Amino acid sequence: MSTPIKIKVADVIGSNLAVSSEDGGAVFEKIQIALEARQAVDLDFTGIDMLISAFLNAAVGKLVEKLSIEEIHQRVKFTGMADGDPELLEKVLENARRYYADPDRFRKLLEMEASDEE
Amino acid sequence: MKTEISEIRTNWQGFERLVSLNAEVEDLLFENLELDFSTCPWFAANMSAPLGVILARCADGLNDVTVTGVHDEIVKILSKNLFLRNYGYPPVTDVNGTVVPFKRFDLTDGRYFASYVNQYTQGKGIPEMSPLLRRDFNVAIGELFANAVTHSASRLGVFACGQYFPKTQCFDFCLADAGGGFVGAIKRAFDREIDSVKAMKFCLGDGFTTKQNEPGGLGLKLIKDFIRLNRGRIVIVSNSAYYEFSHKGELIQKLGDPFPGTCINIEVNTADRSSYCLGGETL
Repeated sequence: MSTPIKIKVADVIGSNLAVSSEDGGAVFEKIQIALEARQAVDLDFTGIDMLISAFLNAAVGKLVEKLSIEEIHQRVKFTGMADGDPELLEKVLENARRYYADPDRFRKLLEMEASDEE
Repeated sequence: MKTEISEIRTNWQGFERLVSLNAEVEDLLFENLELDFSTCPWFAANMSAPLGVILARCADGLNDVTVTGVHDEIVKILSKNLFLRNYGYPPVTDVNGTVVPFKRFDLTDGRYFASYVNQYTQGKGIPEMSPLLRRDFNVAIGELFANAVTHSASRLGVFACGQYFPKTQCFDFCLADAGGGFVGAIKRAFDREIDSVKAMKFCLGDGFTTKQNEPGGLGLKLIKDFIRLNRGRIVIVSNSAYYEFSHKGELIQKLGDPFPGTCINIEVNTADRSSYCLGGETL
């Protein structure tokens, strides 16, 4: 595969704080453009001082809708992460895998809850 | 109208008193509300956030709020955290660096909020937290704000405040919004009406999110894991449901009246020298 396209998170969001879904969404769009062009991605977190799950859900969790976690790791290299952040990334990917396995899980549970009350 | 406020601590009784106050004042319109603190011997500074929600809603109803009868010690505490500044009390300098000041944020202020937390838990602030614990803590607080942005739809924004208590070696940080609470978030996302205790249980569930077509719902779980390892405490109030979790156990109770939104208080044991890295394998 060709040399990965580097996407610097701090440059895309213009901040060292990766703390919102909106910013995560902006990063997701960049990753998607590269992947659709069959480019590998180096997603570089250098300079990011704060990273939260809400950001990662939007930035990379949504990739799980179309790719397996293994495929994501084959096509996207995650670099420059601070201590603890790679583990947070894995939790986000695993949570996304469970979500996309049954996106209506909670709607069904709520419907069951509501019908129990009737 | 004059109403009294009595002792407010970060517990079920404290929230019972605040929601009862809210029930008294929530329908006021074009009134003068005098909030009398003369029978209040203690007000936990971090609880300025939920009181701020109640009073902001009151002011939104074009009521004029005044605060009277505040004991000197409480004036000092609530002037240091700048809560009383809105009611004509001059600010007091936080010489010991124990305060994260009371502040109101718009839901779009995520970065500004993160900077505010960084600023006040670093250097001058919160002296006993190790740098690694402070990092975990700041990330947990960031998750809280993102959570409020996702579920609250609060037109009046989010109210934040923190206080370090040196004697008990704990740091309390509170975030409160004036949105529709978990019940409202579930109604908006799933068009289902369930009671507040059930809504609380759903929202605490692993992976539960009110976002549409996007995974989420990790934030509260990560915070709870952090609090468990740190032997701290978390209190969540949303609509009429009160939830508390600490190393002593877990409890969900119904409050007598609803809180007009959601309030989350996390209490960190600052004597803890460990770091857990939210999301890390140690969790």
